[in-house]
Amino acid sequence: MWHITKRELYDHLNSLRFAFTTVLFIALMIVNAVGYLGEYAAQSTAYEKKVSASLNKMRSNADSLYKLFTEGPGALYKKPGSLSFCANGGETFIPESAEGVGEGLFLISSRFSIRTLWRMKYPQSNPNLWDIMPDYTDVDWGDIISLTLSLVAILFTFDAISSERERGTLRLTLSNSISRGTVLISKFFAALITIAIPFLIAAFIDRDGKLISHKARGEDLERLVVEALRSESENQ
Amino acid sequence: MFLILIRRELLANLMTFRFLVAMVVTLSLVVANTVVLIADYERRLTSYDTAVTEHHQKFLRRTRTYSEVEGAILVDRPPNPLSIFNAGLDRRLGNSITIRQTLVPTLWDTRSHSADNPFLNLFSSVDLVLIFQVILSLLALLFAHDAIAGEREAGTLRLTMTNPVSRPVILLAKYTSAMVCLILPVVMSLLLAFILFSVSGSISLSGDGWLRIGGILLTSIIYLSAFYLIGLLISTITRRTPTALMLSMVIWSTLVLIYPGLSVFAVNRLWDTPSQLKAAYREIEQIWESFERERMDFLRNDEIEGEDLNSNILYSGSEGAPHISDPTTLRYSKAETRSIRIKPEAESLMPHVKVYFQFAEPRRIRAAERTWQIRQKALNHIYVRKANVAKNLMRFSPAAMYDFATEAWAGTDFHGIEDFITAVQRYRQTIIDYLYDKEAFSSRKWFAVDQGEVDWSDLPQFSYRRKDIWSGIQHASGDIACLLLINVVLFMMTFLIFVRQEV
Repeated sequence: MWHITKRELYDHLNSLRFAFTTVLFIALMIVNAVGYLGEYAAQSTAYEKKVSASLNKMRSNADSLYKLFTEGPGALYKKPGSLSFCANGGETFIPESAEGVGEGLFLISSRFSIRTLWRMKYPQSNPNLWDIMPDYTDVDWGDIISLTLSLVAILFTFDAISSERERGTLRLTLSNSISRGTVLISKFFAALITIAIPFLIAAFIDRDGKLISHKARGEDLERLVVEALRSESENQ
Repeated sequence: MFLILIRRELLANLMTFRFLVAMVVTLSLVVANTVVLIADYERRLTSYDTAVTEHHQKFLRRTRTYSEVEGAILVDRPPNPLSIFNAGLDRRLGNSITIRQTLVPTLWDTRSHSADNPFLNLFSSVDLVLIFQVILSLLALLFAHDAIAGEREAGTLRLTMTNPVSRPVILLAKYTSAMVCLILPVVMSLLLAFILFSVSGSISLSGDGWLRIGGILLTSIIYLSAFYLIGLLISTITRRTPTALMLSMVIWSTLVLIYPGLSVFAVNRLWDTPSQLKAAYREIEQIWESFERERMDFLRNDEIEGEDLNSNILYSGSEGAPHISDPTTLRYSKAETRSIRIKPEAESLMPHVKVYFQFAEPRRIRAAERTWQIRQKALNHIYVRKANVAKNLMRFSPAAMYDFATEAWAGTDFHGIEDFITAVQRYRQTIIDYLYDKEAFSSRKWFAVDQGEVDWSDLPQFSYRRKDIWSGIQHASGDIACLLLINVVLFMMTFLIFVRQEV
C-alpha cells in the first residue's frame, strides 16, 4: 500500500497541476496576508483607545447612581475579530459601536422635571449604500478553500481511476496481490498529502506574516489548525 | 462538405449528456431566478410608488414657508426593469435624495427609501447575466476542450482530413456549430424570461428596452464565443483530453470565479483614503465660515438691535438650523428654516428683516455651489477613481468585461445612476429658479406664516427619464470591442497552430 501511495505521490508532485496549485495558493495567500496585514493591529489599538475613552466618561458620570441610570453607559464598541482573515463574514458591515444615551427631559411643571431612563441607540446601518465598487467576494480563508481548494481537489482526483483504466495500468496493478480497497485508499492518501502540501506552505507563509503583527494567542492557533483540518477533510 | 461537417458537429454537441445537463440547469435557474427577480422588482416598484406619494404628502403637510423648502423635498429613484438582466448598482445604491438649497446633491447624499433589510445587500444578487456568465461559459469550455484533442485521440480527425477538406473549414465548422449550440440556451432562456414577464404584467418594455436586451444578447454571444475559442486553443495545444479539460477548468475558475473578486479585494484593501479628504473638508468649512462672517457682519451693522433676529421678531412658531457635517462624504451645510408668527410690535422691522434674507439667502446658495466644486472633485478623486481602478484591473477577465458591458446596456452601471443624480441636480436648480421667480427671499412668506401659507400648486415637479439607447451603446462599446479583439486574437492563434500542426 505504501508503495502505491509513494508512486502516486511522485506522480502528483511531478505534474503540471501541482506546480500550478502551489503558485495559485501562494498568490492567494499573499493577497490575503497583504489585505489583512496590520488591519487587526490597527483595529485593536483604535478599539482600546475608544474603550478607554468611553470608560473614562462613564467613570466621570458615575458619581451618583441616578446619573448613571439616566445618562447610560456611553458608547459600547465591538471588539475586532482577530480571525477575520479566515472568514470575514459580515465584519465590515456590522456597525462598530452602539451608544447608550440619556434621553431628554420630561417636564412635569415649570419647576419639576425628570430625566428618562437611558436607551441604546444603534447607528443606522446601510451597508453598501454608497459603495460603487463592483460586486466581489472577500479573499479570506473560507473563500480560498471553498472556491479554489475544492476545485484543486477535483483536479487531482478526477482521472485517478479512469485514466489508469484507459491506459491499462489499473489491470496491471490489480494483477499483483493487492486488494481494490488498498488501491483506493492509497490513492486517497496520496491526493490528500499532495493537496495538503501547497495549502499548508501557503497558509504558513500567510500566518507567519500575520503573527508578527497580530500577537495571536494560542487559542487562535488551535482554531486555525481546526480550520485547516476541516478544509482538508471536506475536500476529499 | 462544410454543411456536412456542421451537421455532424451539431449532432455531436447536441446529443451529449453535458449539453442536456447544462440546458436543464440553465433553464431551471433562469425560470426560478426570473420569478424571484420579477417579484423583487414589483416590490421595489411598490415601495417606490409609496415613497413618492408619501414624500409629496409629507412635503405639503410640513412645509408652510419658502424657507422650509430646505430639506423638505425628497426625490426617489425608480427601479430599473432591466435590472432583472443585470442588477449592477441599481438595487444596492441609495434611491432617495433630499433636495436642499444649501447642498448640491450627489450620490453620497442618497438614502434608501425601502424598508427592506439592508443586510440583504451582503449577498450579491443572482441575475440572468450571472447565470450566462458562469454556467454557459463553462459549457462553452466543455464543448471546446475535446473538439480537437478528442478527435485527435480517437483518430477521427485524420479520417476527416483524408477527404478534400481544408483545415480552416474544419475549424470553422466546429466553431459555427458550437456557437449555435451555445446560443440556443441563451435564446431559450430569454424567451422563457419574456413569457414570465408577460405573465406578471408588471414589466413593460419600451422599444428602447427591447433594443437594450438585443444588446445584451449580442454581448452574450461575443462573450460565449470568446470562451469557446479559449477552449479550442487549449484543445489544439494539448495532446490529451484530460489535460485539456484540466487546463480549461483551471482557466475558467481563475477568469470567472477567482480573479474578479481578487482584484476588487486587493484594491479595496490597499487603497488608502488620501489626505485630500481632510484638506477638502477644511476648505469647505472655510467657505461656510466666510459666509457666516459676512452674515454676522450684516446683522451687526443693520438697524435691528442684537445679532439674534429671532428674539426681536418671533412671537411663536418653529425655527430650525439644519446643520449637516460628515467628513467621510464631505457633507457640510448650514441652513435656517422658519415658520413663525411675528410680534405685533415688530411689524415695523419687517422691511429690514426682508432685506436681511435677500442678502443672506442668495449668498448661502452661492456658498453651497462653491463647496460643490471642491466636493465633487474630491469625491471623484477618492471614490470614483478607486472603483475605476478596480474595474480596469478586473478587465483582464472576459467575464468582468461581459458584466460591465451588459450593465451598460441595462443602464444599471455607474453612468446610469449618475444620470439620475444629474437630473436631481438640475431639479434643485429648477427649485432655486422657482424661488427666485417668486421673489421668495424678499417675501414675508419666506419666514412668516401669519399672512397665509405658501401655495405649492405651481411648484415644479421632478421627472426623470432614462437616457436613450445611445448612452448604453457608448458605455458598452469599449468592453465589447475588447471582447471582439480577444475573439479575433484567439481565433488567429488557434488557426495558426492548427494549420501547422501534425495530426
